[in-house]
Amino acid sequence: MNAAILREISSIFTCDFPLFEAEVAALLNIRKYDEYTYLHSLNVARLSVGLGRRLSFTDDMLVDLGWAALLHDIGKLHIPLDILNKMKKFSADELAVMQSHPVEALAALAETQPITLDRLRRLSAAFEHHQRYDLKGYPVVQKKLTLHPFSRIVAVADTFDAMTTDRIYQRRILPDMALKIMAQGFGTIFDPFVLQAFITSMGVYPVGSLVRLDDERLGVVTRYLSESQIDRPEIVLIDKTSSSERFIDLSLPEHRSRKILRSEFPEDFDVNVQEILNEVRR
Amino acid sequence: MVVSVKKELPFLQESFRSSEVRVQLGHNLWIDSAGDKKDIQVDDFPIFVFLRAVGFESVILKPESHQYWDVWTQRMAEYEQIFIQDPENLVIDECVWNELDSASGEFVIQCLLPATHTPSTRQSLKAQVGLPPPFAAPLKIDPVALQKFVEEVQRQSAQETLLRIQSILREFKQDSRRTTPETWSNLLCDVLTIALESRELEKALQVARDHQEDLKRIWNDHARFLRLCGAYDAKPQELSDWASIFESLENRMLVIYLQQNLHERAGPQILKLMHARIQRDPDRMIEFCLANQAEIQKQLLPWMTPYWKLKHFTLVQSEFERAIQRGDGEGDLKLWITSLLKCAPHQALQDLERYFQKKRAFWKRDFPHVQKAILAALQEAPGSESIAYLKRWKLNVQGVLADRIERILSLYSSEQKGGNRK
Repeated sequence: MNAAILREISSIFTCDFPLFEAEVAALLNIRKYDEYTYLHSLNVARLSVGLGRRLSFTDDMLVDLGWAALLHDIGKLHIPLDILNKMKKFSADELAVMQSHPVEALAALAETQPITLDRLRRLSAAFEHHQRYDLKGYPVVQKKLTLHPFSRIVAVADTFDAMTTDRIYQRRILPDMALKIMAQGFGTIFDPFVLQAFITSMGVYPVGSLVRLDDERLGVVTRYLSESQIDRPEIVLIDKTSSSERFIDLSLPEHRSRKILRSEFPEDFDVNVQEILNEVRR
Repeated sequence: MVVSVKKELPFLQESFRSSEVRVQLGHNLWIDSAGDKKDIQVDDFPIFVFLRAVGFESVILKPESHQYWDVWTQRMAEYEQIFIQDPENLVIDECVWNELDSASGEFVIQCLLPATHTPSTRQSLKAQVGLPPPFAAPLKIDPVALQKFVEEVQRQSAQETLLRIQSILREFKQDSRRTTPETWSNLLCDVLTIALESRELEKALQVARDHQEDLKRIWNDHARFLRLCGAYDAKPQELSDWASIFESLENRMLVIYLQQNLHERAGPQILKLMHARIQRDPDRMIEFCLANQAEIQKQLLPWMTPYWKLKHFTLVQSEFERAIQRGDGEGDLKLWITSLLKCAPHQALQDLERYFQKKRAFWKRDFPHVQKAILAALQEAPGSESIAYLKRWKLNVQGVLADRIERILSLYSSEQKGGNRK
């Protein structure tokens, strides 16, 4: 088994790898086929398992959810690379091919031997992550079934990561904006419970966001206190010259009048968010 | 489709009335033609949130925009829906964000990017994927809803999983570009196996009924067949239904599996399958048995015993004689004799008598194993008629054969006495 892949998986959840040889092999195939899909799959797993932990899932449930997320795009192994990585708008035919990837997951499944009930269950998300909560997405199936709970989690994580990841042809969306847009799919595209859990446990401005306050100062979101409102985190100010204060906890009554105006791209202001967070934690 | 900005909003009224209005998306402001700034909460207008998210800084609304407002908002809402459902399918640079006045050719609604915006120039194909943000905020959800959701995860049954796969199998067969007949059959077989392993016989039967023809291809795949066959231990009342899954498996293949795989985990199920098949259509199986080679016949004969009828007698007799000519052993001959006795006991005994007649004693050296086989067959199910024959035959034999007939006769006699006492 590939050591690098095992390390990546271990950073997300713990499992007994010899029991998941076929799954690891499938993930390795994804990595060989398309690096972006592989990295995206890891992120979707990080988000899905992260949410699963917040929802107090058992370890076994987290393992199944983790694999469901890691393999949700396994059907893309059967999408030609020129379509998968196309930088321009898809033609109708290309779109149909692209949208066949959930169904093509079955072809990938056939290659993942032996097929067991557990494996089949873990692949539910691969078939269902684009079906939408109201079942008006794709693939269109004759018999409408409620989506597996893991598919509903993976659908949210998948969209969030796709929106917030830089593509070769387009810049990412900032996390808070992605969450706001996704809220438009509340109860139609996304399971309302899952989306609510996702947004509230991440916070409207996730930790690490670069935000501009209404006084135009920039700060980085450092944490949420247990009783914080989901849009009022603690912020460490970047511009220390204009004021003596360094941290502003927007959940405190004395800061009630202050608000976050918008988030910004850190690279536009030469801000190294990770460095600031590390410094704060020290 | 939800058009999310209402026409009665003040900045729209202003723009529709007489002047140009600029909505500053990042600053929560709108500016009229006189340069007066007023507050709005952009977050309250989903389309503006969407425009801001995809990188626009402001939207300019001209007085003529009121004629185009519905068309524009409809289009933006469609883009937004595509983006939410599948972000990778919306190429932002190729969307039509602005609205042109068809008469003047001027923009009536114009979305502006920041001055610092540079079009996508990244040439590197290497993906730039960072880590997602952590879940570090307080989880504000209803504990009852949480409990219900966790229970839903735990409650997922094999039946539901199978229903999911069943619902997508049809789409897969129709739409998949990569489906080869082999892939398709293998998948079907694996799904059937899982259904049976999960004790979902009814589900398995549905899949098998829908795709019986497609299953033909997998019967040559030994590993798959053995897993499928060994996946379910059918109860007597389920045997016939269960066996129907293997409807398209040829008898010849079943006999091969019977010959080669009885020691496998699936061995008992292979026997059950053979039993069910013979029970369901014994005549067809008899026909198959009689028309086949000796090796296959040997496998089948023990199964056929209860089903022999008078009409089969002549054919069985020919096969028996062929077996003698081939020099088959005592055990194999015994199978044929048992079959003859089952077809027509009286006729069989009459026919077998020639192997014990004195006048044919010059063939004697060729017959001991046939005679032994006849005695072995009769010993298993002695009756008054066969006992009468045995008494007669005893007079024509000596040594071991005579002793053996004597044992059968005394055993029969003591059984009869025992039976009478009872």
